[in-house]
Amino acid sequence: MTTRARHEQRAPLLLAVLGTLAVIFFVLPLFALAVRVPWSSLVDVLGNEATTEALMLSIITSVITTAIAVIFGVPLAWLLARSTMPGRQMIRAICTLSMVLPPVVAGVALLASLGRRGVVGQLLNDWIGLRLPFTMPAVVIAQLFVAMPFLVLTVESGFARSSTTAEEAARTLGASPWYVFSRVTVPATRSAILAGAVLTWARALGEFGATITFAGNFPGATRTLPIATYLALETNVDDALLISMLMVMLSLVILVALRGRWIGAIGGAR
Amino acid sequence: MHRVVQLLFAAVVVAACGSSDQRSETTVVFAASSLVDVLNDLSNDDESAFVRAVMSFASSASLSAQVVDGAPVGLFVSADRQQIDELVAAGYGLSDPRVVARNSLVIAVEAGNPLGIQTLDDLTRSDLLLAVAAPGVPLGEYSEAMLRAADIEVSPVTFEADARAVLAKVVLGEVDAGIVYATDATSTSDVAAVYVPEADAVAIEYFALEITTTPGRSSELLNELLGERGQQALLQRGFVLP
Repeated sequence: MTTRARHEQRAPLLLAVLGTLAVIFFVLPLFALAVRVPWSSLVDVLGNEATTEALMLSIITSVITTAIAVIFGVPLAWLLARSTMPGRQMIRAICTLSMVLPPVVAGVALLASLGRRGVVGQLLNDWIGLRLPFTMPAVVIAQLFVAMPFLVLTVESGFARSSTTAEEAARTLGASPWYVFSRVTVPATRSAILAGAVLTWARALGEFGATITFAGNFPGATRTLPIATYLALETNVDDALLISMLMVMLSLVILVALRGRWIGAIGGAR
Repeated sequence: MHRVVQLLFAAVVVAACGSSDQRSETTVVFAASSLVDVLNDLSNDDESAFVRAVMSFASSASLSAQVVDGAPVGLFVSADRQQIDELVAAGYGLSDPRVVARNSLVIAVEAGNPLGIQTLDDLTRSDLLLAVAAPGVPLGEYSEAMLRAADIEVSPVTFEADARAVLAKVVLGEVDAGIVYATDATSTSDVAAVYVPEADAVAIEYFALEITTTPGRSSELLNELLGERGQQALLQRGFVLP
């Protein structure tokens, strides 16, 4: 890829106005949340075992989800971008449908397939006594189903954009297809893979609907931070506000850090 | 470009007019999710005042929070006394709260009751998967109170957000039993209701409160709920009259 030259230019007035309105639209709710949060009870809420348990569970499950999404999502993205398999458009549409499904519907679909009475779940239950709903793996599956498309789409467009010249050169020199993929293609699309992984992680961290439908709510096993927040709304609105602020800050710190240090650095080094 | 801006402006004006028109015609009703069937029955009855009501169903606690946050509500029907008391204390009550119906707790099991669940004690079986409502939501509090009064300790696999969510887990066969309101268990033929005497220990009352902020035709709606038509509709859906 050639270096991208950026010219400083003045924004057209209309773009500046509409863009600024968009910024206000995103900043206002966060600002309002920050103002309403009873910061004085932050220590109490953070010291609350139920909250820290939910926070830890959210971090662990979303990281596992992201890792699995990379392992399976990058190959899928490669197939969609580079292979000539038939019906690619259809496969892409189906594999990314869960992004637009209402999450609760995604949860019901997971129950219908992997639940105790599900198409596959029943077999798992009868044969090896494996029951997924209400377990931590169910949380990861729910997150994966809803969040992995973000990685697939981002990485696919990365593969589609990157030049194939170096890959062809490597092949001409006798490199195996796997060597070309792992040593040429992946390094060239590192930034897209990282960006996709971050998007997936963020979506997984905030996942609520599919999780509570498929995995239920049990402290320590399936009660993630978003579910804890939702239930806190029923009992203690102040706690709910604090926990949501905690999520906002956690996401913001990681998104900014990753963008600035890794993705930005790799993008700039090219 | 100017055309785009004009169009946007026109759209905003039209939307604003639409909403203000609607506001003068309809009254917003907030109701606990266990009332969804009975209030929908009423709103499908052409002679009912609920035909012109806009209804929103959720757990009483989250609806109450929305009232405090300024939702334009006329009538609030809560499954929990506490929510109503808090709203009254904060000055949201237009008149005194009224009891419109009663409910009781039952064990919802798969249709035909294949596991033969008969008593509250059966819920302690180690191989049985049980769903209850989360502590904090009214159903969860009632369930806990019933189990505590009977001195029975259960280990549920999930604490669901409301009655409908508990019921859904039973209907889908993901759990063997769930503690729900009698009215929820009778709302679908996919589950059977097991009545237990321990349920008498908890009094479950539905309170209706007219809200001061945007009352609209709330008193007409409240009178209907307390009158012949409303009480008949409640009876048909398995409620007990006050």
